[in-house]
This record gives sequence, C-alpha cells and structure tokens, in this order.
Amino acid sequence: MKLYGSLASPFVARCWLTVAAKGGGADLAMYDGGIKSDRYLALNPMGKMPLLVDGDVSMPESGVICEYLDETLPGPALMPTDVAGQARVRLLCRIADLYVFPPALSLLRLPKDGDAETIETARINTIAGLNHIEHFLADTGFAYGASLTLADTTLHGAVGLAVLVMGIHGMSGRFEGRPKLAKWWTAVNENATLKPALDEIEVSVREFRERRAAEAATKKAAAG
Amino acid sequence: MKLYGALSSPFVARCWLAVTAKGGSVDLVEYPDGITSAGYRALNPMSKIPVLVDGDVVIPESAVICEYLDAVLPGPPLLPGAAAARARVRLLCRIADLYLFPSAIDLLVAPVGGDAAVIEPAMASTVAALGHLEHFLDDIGFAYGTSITLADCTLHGGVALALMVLGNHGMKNRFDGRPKLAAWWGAIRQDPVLKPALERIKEVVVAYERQRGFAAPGAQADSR
Repeated sequence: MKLYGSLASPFVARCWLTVAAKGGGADLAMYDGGIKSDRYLALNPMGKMPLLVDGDVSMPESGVICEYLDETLPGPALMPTDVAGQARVRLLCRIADLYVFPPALSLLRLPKDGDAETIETARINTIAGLNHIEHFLADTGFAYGASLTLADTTLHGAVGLAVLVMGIHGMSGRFEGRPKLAKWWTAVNENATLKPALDEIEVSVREFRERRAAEAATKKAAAG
Repeated sequence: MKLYGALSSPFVARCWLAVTAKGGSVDLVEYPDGITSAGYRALNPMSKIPVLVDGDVVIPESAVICEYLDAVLPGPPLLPGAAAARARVRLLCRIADLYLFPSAIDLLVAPVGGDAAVIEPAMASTVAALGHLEHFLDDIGFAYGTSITLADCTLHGGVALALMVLGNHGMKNRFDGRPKLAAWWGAIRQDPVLKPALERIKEVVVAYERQRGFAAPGAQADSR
C-alpha cells in the first residue's frame, strides 16, 4: 500500500498516524508528477492530499482512508467493537473535520495583521470546535476508551493545528476550561506507539514552515 | 429511537431516508424547547439538527447517525461488505458533506442577483462538487452497486439542494456532461422503497420554502 502526500499536511499525518497505530503496512511517498497532474486528478479529481493506492484500489479523503486502513491492515483495531462506541469515535473525527479544521485553516491563512473581524470569527469558531471536542472526549488520556482509536489519530492534527494558529495569533489559554483536552494532548504526544510517527510529522511541519518563511522573505526582498 | 429534527433539513432527511431504506421506524420529532435550549445543547453542543437518541446513546451529526442506524436497525445493509466498496460509499457521502453541501448552502443564503463575488465562486464550487460525484458514481441507477446504500440516502438531499440553488441563480442544463448523475437522479426518485419518504420530504420542503417566500417553491429541484 502506498500513501501519497506530505506529512506537513495534517490530513496526510492523520493517515500516517493510523498506519503507525496499526503497526505499519503502508509506505509514504510524494506523487510523481504532483497532485495537479492529469494522472493524479484521474485518481482524485479534488486534487488534494492524501491519496491511498492499494493494488487497483485507490481512494482520496483522509477520513475514508483511515477507516479503510483500519479494516484492511493487520494490527490492533482502531474502532471499538460496540456500535455506540464506533459512533462516538466517528463523531469526534467528524467534529475535527467540520468544526476544527475549517476555522483553524482559515486562521492559518490569515496574516497576523489581517482583517480583525475575519480573524475574530475564525478565532471564536476554532475555540467552539475545541469545546465541542472537550464535550465528547473521554477522560482516560485516550480520545475514547482505553486504547488508540481513529479519533486519536484524527484529533492530533486538528488540535495541533488549532494550538499552532492560536499561538501565531497571540491567543493564550488554549486549554483553559478544557481539562480533558489538556490531559489527552499531553498523553497522546507521549504515546509510545505514535511517538516515532509524531517525531517525523514534527520535522516535516517545521521544514515546511521554514521553507514558507524563506519564500515569504525572498518575495518581500524582491518587492522591496 | 427518537430522531430530533425536521425534514426540511437535508441532514435530517438523509437519516430519514436511511431509516426508510432499512424498513425501520424511528420517531421523528422536533425538540420541544428548540435546538438552542440548554437541554438540547447538553445533547448536542453544536446546536444543529438532527440528533438521534436511542436509550442512553445520544448521537449528533447525520453521517454518524446514518452509520449507527445501518448497524443497529434490522433490514438490508446500507454499506457493502468489502472494505474497498465501503470506502467508495463513504467517499461519495464525504464529497457531499465537504464539497457539495457547503457551497450549495452558500448559494441558498445568497440573494439571487446579489454579490457576484460571493455567488460566482459558490456556483463554480457547487458545479465542481457535482463533477466530483460524477467521477465516482456508478452508472447503474444506484450510487454504488445494485442496491440502496448510505450514498443514495446522503446524495439525494445534497444533489436536490444543488439543483435547486443552481436553478435559482439562473443555471440551466445542470446535468450537462454529467450523464451518470442524471441517470442516478432519474432512478433514485422512482425507487419504490424510498418513494414514500421522498414524497413526504418534498411536501415539507415545499411548505418550508413557501413560508420563506420563495417565488417558485420546490419546483426547480425537479426540473432539469
């Protein structure tokens, strides 16, 4: 199995953490020709990362990929066996996808000195998204139950991004009033199974941000 | 089981279609104190419809509810047995959720003839999302395979909304270049299992639109 994309993307990272939680079974690569090539768009017309290719099966969308990885790779199950537990795990993933990622990504794209009203809306929505997660999160150090699930592998990137952009925009108290989230964030970052993948992701994100900063500096110098 | 919400919401309708496809029954009711009440927010802090209550299990988010309904209700399975096929059904649902609904809802709230800077990109995104669905749809009358799946239940409301809002904003030939989508749309509305529920949904939507003062209530969702 091949997972196409860069770990600087939280959506690729989510799949990579899922692979790590399963104990491996997929390789990570950049797509030859890039994600806007005709060949890639034939597999994923949305033109986004990640893309999973497993023999003649291919699929885009990290939420779909993660469930497929869990069902097809050997290793521990990342979905609870009871239906209500499965619903809770899917709900946590969905809250990340619909309520945390969108406002956090818009905060990421907004310059620090951008339109104050737009920033404030994105800030309020990001915090609301974190509060929704707090509401449904377990108090065990795992997102649900007593072992890793797809909720842990999904939430890591969403919460990581929210924490990052709130920092960029000078917001303090990122876990204030969210004790379950704070406990989970510490625990998941120290999780022995995920740690090697988390370290890889951290390097990737740092390199990406350094590259972007260097590009911005070059552009600024050229404009000046 | 109790499903809180109104069928004028495509997200509630999606769950209702899933119940219908299972041949099951749940009580569809509006939450007595409204969805912004403290009681409702305790069930669903996102304060949206629908919410499913099954004994002490409480589930917001229509996609999560649909997978739960499929797992717990008797009746035909609405997800295929093979992992790759399940991924395809989930992908179709996800394209509706992430690409079709957001831009179609933007168009729904934009006044006809209003700000072109808002309407034009939303039109383009809605059309692109229909193209993504076309890419992954089967061409045998169901969204996937030879029977109803959660993709049919999910796509109906998304495509109906997209057709309506594109029509409202003056787009003709909404199926041009999308033969699979056209064939599916023709077939799904005649499906004998779903038909009674679809008629009930249509009545509610037409009444809702009339109340909101739309000039040609509901009619445009049906015409090409």
